[in-house]
Amino acid sequence: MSVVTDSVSYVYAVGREVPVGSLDDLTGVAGREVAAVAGSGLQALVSTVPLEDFSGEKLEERLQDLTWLAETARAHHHVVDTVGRAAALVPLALATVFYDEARVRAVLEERGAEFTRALDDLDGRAEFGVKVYLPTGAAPGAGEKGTAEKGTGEKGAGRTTGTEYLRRRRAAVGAAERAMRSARESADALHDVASEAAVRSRRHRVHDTALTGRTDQMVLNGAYLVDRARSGEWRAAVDRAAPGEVTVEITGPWIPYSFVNGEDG
Amino acid sequence: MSDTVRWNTGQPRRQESAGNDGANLADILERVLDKGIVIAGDIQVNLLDIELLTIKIRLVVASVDRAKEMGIDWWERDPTLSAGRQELEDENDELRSRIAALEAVMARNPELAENVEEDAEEPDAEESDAEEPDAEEPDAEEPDAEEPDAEATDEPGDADEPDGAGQDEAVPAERPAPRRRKSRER
Repeated sequence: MSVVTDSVSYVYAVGREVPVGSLDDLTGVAGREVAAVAGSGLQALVSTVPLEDFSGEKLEERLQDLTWLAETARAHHHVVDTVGRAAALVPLALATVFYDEARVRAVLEERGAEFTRALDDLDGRAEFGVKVYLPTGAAPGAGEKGTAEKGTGEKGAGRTTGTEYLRRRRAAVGAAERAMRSARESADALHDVASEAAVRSRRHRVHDTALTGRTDQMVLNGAYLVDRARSGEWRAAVDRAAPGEVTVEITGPWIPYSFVNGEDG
Repeated sequence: MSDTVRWNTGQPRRQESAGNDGANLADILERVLDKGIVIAGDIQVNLLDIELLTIKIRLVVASVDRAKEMGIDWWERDPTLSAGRQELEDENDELRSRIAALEAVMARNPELAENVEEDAEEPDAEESDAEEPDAEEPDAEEPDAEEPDAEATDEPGDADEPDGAGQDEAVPAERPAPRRRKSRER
């Protein structure tokens, strides 16, 4: 792959023993093909991209463009995910860009030991996600109305009803809080089981409902590093432990993005 | 490779889109932006900016992912806004009818209004209200129209004063938002 001065090298991941054929017909960011840049017994997955789109200024500007960001993130993930099926990979963060392939080789050499450690750690392992939601219907309060109107026509009954109304309101608040607390406890328990069956785990921030587009509230967003050979066992353990009053969602297997820095979790 | 399976115990759920490219955009962004090994490239992107960016993404990603099915009015269908709003409207309707019923009772029976006042801890404020039930209607209704928005977004307090029977009209009208908010807090 030739290096032109107005191009830069976008790096997706660093791997070991990446099969040559696995990069064929693979499309990366900016619609570019993907190549392996070898050095220090490692291979970096690289696309040559136009400098004009990936200069510092331009990059910061484009990262604010959600459409571009979504496309680029998906492309980045696609490359990592596809090649990751065939070889051990350490994914890099989005938009890691070097001037040219020589610089990429230099980085492979400089940080070879670090990459090798991470690859040793992650080889044969996959990341799974577990998300737990409190279903909207589980938060009481909606069923309260309808009973509120009776008795208002009675002499003096209006006052009693108002007090009762407030009492019921407080009860509904209490019930919703209890439902949320109980869902959090279920989530903690499930996280413990999933962590127990995993090599390592960590909890990500829960997503806001504006982000998930769901009405139910996320109470757990966990990531678990699991030996691939034992992923069936892990799933079964999580399945058994999944409490009935919440919705559980499992994602994966992912290339272990969340565990590339070994000390985490 | 990243397939998603979701279930709700006892009640089987649909399979989520399978395959790596069908993975949820939020899940992908969470990983490729926040995670992965961070190496200072030759072209630096300020990670602080990315951190800020993720906050922004948290607010708007749904619009990208769902633009086609939801159209440009996605925020109106955002359950955090619309579901609660409908609930508040229902409650306001219910409260209005109850206020009307109370006022009818009071108009027929002036002594009842007096009794109500005696129970109140601050009778001075209620004096004129109780004697002129007609004048209350605009007072009670106008704030209703604006309260759901204002309270749903930035009313942290929870005015907990069920006493003062003379305030019955006003207090319930303000209750729904704090209650709803509590149920959504994490």
